[in-house]
Amino acid sequence: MTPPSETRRFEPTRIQLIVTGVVLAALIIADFSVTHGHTGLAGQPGIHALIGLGAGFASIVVAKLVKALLKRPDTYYD
Amino acid sequence: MTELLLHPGAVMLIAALLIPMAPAALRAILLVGAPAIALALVWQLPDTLATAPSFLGMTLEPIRADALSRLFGTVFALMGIAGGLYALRQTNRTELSAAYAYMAFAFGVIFAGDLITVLIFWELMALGSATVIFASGTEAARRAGLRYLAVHLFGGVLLMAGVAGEVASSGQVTFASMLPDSVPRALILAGFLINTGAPPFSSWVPDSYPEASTTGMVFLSAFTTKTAVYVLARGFPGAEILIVLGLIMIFYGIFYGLAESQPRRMLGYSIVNQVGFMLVGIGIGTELAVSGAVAHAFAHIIYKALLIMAVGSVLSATGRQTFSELGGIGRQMPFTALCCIIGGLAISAFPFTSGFVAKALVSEAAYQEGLDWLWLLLALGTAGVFLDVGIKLQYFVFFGPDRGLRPAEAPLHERGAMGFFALLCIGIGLMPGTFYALLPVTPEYSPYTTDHVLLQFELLFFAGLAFFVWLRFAGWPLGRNLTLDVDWLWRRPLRDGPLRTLEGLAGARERIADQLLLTKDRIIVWAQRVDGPVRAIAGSHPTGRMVFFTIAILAAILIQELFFT
Repeated sequence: MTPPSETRRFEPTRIQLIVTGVVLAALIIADFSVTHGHTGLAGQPGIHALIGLGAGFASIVVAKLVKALLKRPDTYYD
Repeated sequence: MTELLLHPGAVMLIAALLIPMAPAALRAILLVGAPAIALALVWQLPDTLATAPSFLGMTLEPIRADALSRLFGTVFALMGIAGGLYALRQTNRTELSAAYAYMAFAFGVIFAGDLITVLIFWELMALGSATVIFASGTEAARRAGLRYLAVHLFGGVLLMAGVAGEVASSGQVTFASMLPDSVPRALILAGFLINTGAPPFSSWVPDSYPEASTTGMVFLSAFTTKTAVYVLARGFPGAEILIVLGLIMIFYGIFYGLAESQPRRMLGYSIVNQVGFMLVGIGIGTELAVSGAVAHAFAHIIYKALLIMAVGSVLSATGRQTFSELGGIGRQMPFTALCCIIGGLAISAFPFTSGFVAKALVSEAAYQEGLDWLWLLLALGTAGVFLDVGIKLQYFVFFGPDRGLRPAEAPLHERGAMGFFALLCIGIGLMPGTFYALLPVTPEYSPYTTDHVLLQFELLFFAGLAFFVWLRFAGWPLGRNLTLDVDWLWRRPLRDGPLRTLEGLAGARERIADQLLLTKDRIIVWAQRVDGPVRAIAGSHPTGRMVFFTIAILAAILIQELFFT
């Protein structure tokens, strides 16, 4: 049996969108209002959001590239 | 020497010998009881033997117990208890016996005070762990086990050469802190690194571990890579090459993990990724950084085993092991899903879990050393891990659309093992002070400051946002495939190459033989032409002509006798 191959998608509900938006906004606001224990790069307000978002998209894009270049059928070595 | 019987490894080895012949009830007691006794012995063990044995004129130190070895001993024993409980219904005695022997040898390495003892147990561990893989009995496992053994025996050879060189040049067998500043020490480091899954030999982890049984992979995940972390923390703190290798491992694990189509292989990549963080800590080399690395190893053994147990229970319950065949089973297996999510949060360094209090130490050490770029890369790596094991794994296994799978919840003993480790993940996260006190050097650090917790949430949530935005707009194709790795070299050209060369050589031999035969025939033909029965030299001649030549020769002799003597 060949296992199914498909593209999984995600359709958020309105509630999920609102809750996500509120939480993320609250985190950003809090970030800009607390005193940071670190100085330099690690102490920049908002840097953690940027790192998270950047790492998230970059990891996915690189993983897609790895897949595009190096993906082989499961039976490649058999 | 009777103290050797107090060695935690001795108890595990006795259990390994008894398991094959024990009836089911006794086997269950051995599986959980032996590591529990080992746990007590880790703390009872004398710091060293009263009389040191000697071997080939070298004084050995088969037992050296200090804070670092007791820390690893503790988590190894905890792993044995949970792993044994999880494997309670495993009827494959070969696998269980091999797994317990493998654990015994791992104890042997961490309590070894000299390089010879380390080397002996190191090699034995390779054999024990390979047997666990072979024991799963499939053809794929047999082949993966052979590849595993080849890589590890190669590492063992490097280590042996290094130890021999080190002992010959320094005359010392004590296993102490060193730097890779000579060829033997570089060889020792290389031998250790192969077991961590460092490049270019990273692929052995995702290649071999998932081929073991569901219970076998739980044992395998804990000991080989973590004894390697232990020996590096003991032997090479501050070796800067570890930072570079660790960073490569961190991102390799994330990228390959995100590209992977099977949960168990993905967790294999994740082991490489996590050990990468530990290598970075050891490479930084400060007290805080090395403490962070070993704290991370301790926490990682627990949450990674938890994840592997959960995914193993899913495999046992559904018989399916690709993301494309799974999904939506969180409702049927709520306890397993909850434990897997706790493991996923812990590995992602989510606040209030063990990963948060352990991983923060290495990042903090990088920050304190003024290595802002390293701090940034570690933060990027942490966010990547959340995307990988924290979200992708959980989402595609337990959430998403219902595929009509109706698996039963994991059996009680599996839930017990998972519950135990899930509680430890949270307990360590909530009591960092107690956990830090176990470390060889208790760090002066408090992970729970308002800004640290807040910023960690910010980092992780925004990484999660990236995943769901991508899933919403681009979608995530799921199929069944593998990703080429460096091992392609020895699974294709280096495997097929020698075969083809041998075939080529065999062909060449035949061609050369044919050529020789042909040449022989040609020589005969040529000789016959020159010297055959009808030719000048060997041909037959009339008697008269022969008499003429005879007379001519006799006349020549006569003339010579008459006139020239």
